[in-house]
Amino acid sequence: MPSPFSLANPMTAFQVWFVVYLYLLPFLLYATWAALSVMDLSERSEVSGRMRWGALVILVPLLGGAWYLLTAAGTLKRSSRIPIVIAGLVVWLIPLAIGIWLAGGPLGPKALS
Amino acid sequence: MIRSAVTFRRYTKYLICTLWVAAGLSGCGKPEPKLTGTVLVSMADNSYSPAIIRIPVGGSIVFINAGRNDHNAIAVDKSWSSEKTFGNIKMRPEDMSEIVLTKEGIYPFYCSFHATPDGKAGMVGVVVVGNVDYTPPGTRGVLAAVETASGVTRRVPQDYPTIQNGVDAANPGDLVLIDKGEYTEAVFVTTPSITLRGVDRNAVILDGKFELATGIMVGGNGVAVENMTARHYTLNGFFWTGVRGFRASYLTAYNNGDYGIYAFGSTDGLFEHSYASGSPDSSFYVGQCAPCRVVLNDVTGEYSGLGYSGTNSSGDMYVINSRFTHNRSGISTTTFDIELNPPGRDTTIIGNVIADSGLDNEAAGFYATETLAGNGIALVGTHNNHVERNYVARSRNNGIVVVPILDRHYWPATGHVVRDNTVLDSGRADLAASGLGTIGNCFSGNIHRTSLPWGLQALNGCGKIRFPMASDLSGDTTFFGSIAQIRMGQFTLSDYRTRPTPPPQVNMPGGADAPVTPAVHVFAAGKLNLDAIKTPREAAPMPPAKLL
Repeated sequence: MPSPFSLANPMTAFQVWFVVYLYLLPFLLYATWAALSVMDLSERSEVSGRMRWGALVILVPLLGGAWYLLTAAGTLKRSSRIPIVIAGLVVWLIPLAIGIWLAGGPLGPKALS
Repeated sequence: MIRSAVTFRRYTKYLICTLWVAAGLSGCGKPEPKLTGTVLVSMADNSYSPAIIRIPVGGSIVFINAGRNDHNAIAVDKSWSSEKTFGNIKMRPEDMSEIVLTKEGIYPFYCSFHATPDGKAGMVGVVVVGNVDYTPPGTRGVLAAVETASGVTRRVPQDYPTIQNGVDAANPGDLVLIDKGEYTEAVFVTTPSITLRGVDRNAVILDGKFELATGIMVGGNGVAVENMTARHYTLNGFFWTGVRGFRASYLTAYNNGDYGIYAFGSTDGLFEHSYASGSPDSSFYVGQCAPCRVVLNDVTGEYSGLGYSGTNSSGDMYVINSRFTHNRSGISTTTFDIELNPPGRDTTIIGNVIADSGLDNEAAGFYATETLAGNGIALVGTHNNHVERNYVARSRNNGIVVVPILDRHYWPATGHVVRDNTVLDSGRADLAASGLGTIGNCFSGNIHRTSLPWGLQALNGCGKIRFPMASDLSGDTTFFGSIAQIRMGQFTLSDYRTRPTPPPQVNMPGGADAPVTPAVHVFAAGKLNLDAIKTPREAAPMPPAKLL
């Protein structure tokens, strides 16, 4: 069974960094935001369209959960919900931007001589 | 005529930045083959590669300075130049400039630093735009290819002091027979249907001394080159460009600065019983042809960035009964927008041994091949390849991997059939599929232990429902991690000039007295029997893996 982290050989700090921030972190954010949203929905029977919200949160990864937390969640304070989403985006998007910058430059001339 | 100029840096950043948008849109439908008209031309020190370029009206040429000197490209009639598009008469190493040509015609061009302004000597090239007849300079008018040998033998050096003299004197159907010796020449062949033959494969040596560009470059149809060696050229050992009908038989090419044995924009050809090693790009390369009607049969590629590389080589393209060992990557079929006719498709890879890919640092390479390092067979943004009955062992990363590529477009890898291969001891996974849109591929009957994602063969069997979730993104992220790593200088490449000298290779049966057969109707004459090919085994006992 290969490693679930699927690192190329030789394993380097760059490989780990890219896999963690650009590959694994979005799954973590999806799980976190979806879990918080579903938990909120389950505790608020007064919310109309709970099934539609639930479907949105589950079936539209990241965006569905973030949208619900920012606009509709009720059991968490607004001062908690917004930082959860914003902090998650910052932790993901800043490394993503750095990754694009690192991988987006020239590889060098074809010939070595 | 002139639209834009971009530096290499801006260009690649643009490509990467569009990944995240393009990738999100890619999985929605089957991509359609799209004809584009861009050709990549490398500026080496001091020559263009390729030097003769055909593009459609409205097509473009992307010049990249791949050398260490400053270069440029200026049309002899001054109608266009890289100075106008790039903004500076000097294109420094890694700079890139795109020139769009909208008017049909023939455009000789030159580098003002390394050629005469009439485009006749030095670092020169020609762009042929549209459907225009073009005869390369130095030829005696338009000579027709012939199907039978003339019976005339022109001996070098007995009758002609240099190979080029012999070639220039030859008529279609002639044999240019080269005696033992070392020839420091860069030969350009435009006469069709001639045969260049060495009397002894290991003793007829073209040596570029790391100063000349290409050992033998062929621009005429139906030319066969047999039984000799080319080494130490800054670009290629043997090179056919823009021809119909070609054959490389019993050739050896080693420690050349770009490719060993190379066909570009050429169709109806055969590479057979040949050996190439120590090329930073690939030992054997077939680029930009559709349908190719090209066969690689019984060739060996070692210690190169890639053993075999095919970019946009599509249709009746076969790699069979061959051996690719100790390369950074064994076999790669690739799609690039910077060559005509993307995507690459319909390549058949059967009965090959691919081993020790990326396992050590003995292979030559350059920065881009390092991104593919460690893969036995990589199907990169191509479509509908058949990979069957190969023996793939000890790949540092993946034995057989199917991945997308981002160039100007995002090209998913789809429709590949991977079956009945033996894939062993890969460092990451024996079978792997990665990337958005990497769907519609099937895996059946492969002997393997690991796959990424897990259950790849079970969920994507040939003839079964192929689950679209059986491709992940981890391969993409590790690929971009590799690029970042390379950009930060965390890699080591071996100099192509110091790669191992190969042992003597088998001579052509019959040697100088073998029948002379011009390279016409080569593909049809080959009579491929793919069903008879069995999965090979390594000739030597498997040494213990080093990096697993």
